[in-house]
Amino acid sequence: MSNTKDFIVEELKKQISGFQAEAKIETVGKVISVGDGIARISGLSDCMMSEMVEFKTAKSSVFGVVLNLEEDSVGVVILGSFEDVKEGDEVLTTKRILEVPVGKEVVGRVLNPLGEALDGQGELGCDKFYPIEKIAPGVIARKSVNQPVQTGIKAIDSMIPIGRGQRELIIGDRQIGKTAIAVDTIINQKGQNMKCIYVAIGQKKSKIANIVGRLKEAGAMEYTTVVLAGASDPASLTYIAPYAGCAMAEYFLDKGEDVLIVYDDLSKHAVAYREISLLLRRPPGREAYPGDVFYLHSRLLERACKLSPEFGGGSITALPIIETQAGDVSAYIPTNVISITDGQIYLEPDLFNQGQRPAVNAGLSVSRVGSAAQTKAMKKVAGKMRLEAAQFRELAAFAQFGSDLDEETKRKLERGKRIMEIFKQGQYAPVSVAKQVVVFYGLINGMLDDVPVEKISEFESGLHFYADTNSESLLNLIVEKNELNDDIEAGIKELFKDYKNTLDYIKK
Amino acid sequence: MRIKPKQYVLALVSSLRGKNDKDAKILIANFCRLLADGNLLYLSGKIIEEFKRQWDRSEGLVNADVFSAQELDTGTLKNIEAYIAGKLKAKKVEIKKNVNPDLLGGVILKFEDKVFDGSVAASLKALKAEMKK
Repeated sequence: MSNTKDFIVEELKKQISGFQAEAKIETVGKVISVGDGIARISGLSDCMMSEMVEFKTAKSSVFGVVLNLEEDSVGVVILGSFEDVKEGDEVLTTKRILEVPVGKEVVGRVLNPLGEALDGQGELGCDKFYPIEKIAPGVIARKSVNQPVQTGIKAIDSMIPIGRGQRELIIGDRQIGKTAIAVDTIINQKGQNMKCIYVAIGQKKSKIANIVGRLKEAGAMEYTTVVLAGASDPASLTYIAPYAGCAMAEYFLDKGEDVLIVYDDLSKHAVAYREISLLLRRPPGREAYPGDVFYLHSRLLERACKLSPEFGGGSITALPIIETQAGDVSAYIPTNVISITDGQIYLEPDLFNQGQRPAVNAGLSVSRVGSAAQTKAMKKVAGKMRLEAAQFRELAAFAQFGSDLDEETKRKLERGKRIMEIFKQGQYAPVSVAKQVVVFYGLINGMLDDVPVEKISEFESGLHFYADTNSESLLNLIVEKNELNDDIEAGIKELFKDYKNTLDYIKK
Repeated sequence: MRIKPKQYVLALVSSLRGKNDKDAKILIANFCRLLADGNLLYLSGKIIEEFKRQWDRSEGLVNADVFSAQELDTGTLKNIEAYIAGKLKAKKVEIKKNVNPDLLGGVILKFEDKVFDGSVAASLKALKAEMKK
């Protein structure tokens, strides 16, 4: 016992004698004014842009980030509660650009934009930090997309395919299922070798609790990180949230992994930035947004990329979300983000109200690069279907005028109705690629023409079940071969025939 | 283009350089008339503040605060003066002495926007933080 005591005393002595308190010159400023999360500080002659500064308040210390460097003052946004910051408080520079902890420890966690845990599971314990702002990879490091992101949503995987490294905007009014698409996509990444980061920007915390619960239920939290800047958090945290999420994604990118990042949503991000800019007295422009609101989003989304194999071959796929007001896609922020991204998924209230869910408008939605990443099998069936869906949209409007239609038109209308019916899909019910290929193949080859329209969804779910139990090898073969050869086509035809024989509502 | 108080001050400082008291009086009167003509007398508070700073700078004068646990002897003060003068390349350092027994020992120097904390209290605090780890 005495041995251990001596040992501890010796160790203490050693530690204390080895301790060298280094006194160094520090740069200190004084708070001139503070309000609404913004502080103006005098002094700090050698501080840097977007450097972290530490406010020494009476109770504790809180960090801020430098956004304005002026002749005789510095504009700082306070990251956290600013109630304790008073005029005359001391502010220290830290010589560190704003950074967040990164590493595989963040997976499965709910964090705030500064990388502090919000899920009550203890500290992260990351030893690596990445700056939240980073210049995106250059031309040499990049490669065009060549691998698909399977969203598990039939309407999207077939008509608006997304590739790894793409930036695909999800745009639509409130309460129309934008988040649902993003969450379904995250759920469907299970076993696809993909890390997911969900960045909630200015969202209700109840909604996030719900989403996290859903993700846990689906086993998706094993590869997902949630970065949360809630509606009650100050604008400064909302502003840095997507950049922090992207920094965490870049850690995996640098390791050569694939990452999917969802920014939900960038309209609120722009609003938070507008608030900060106006408080910093930057001049307002259109819709009172500051002049650099385009750069705000372009520098963020440009960080999504597919790297060439020499640079690790990783990718960051970005799914930004924009909320429109009454379907107005020509507002300032929506047009900006549409022009930055590689395509958009446009969700329409009319379709939503007609019961077409997900309410994807196939005409206004595009994917500018995704088709290069589609698997061969899917490309073959989806190409024809996209054409038929487009013909149906054209005819449907026209057919309302007359009842006298020729056979060909009638056939196209019937086919179109079935396509629309197939695109309907429940939430949290992603469909695997192989099953999608089977259904689409049947559809374009007229194997669903004898199924009544109102029975389509019943027929489809039955088909999935039947395929799972009876022809698992066929599904595996489709995934493995990645294309439609004669054997597979014959297999699908066989599957449909056998399945139809079990149904009594189909005329034989 | 609006002229800032600082620019007025810089002009005033450079024109006052090397003038005797009598000339300076006339110059200052003219300066005040200029401000009055431009309806700029509301800036006078700011201008006076800024003038003190700019004049000190042009004279190479630095104000420093020294905090210590006990009254410092002249030798130490001389050393501190030389240290600050060397740091800022100043000609003259004006030191304001403060005594604060809470520091336990050592000194804290404050000059311009820099702080040098060499007090025993700060070292103990750092040691405490280190031990907690």
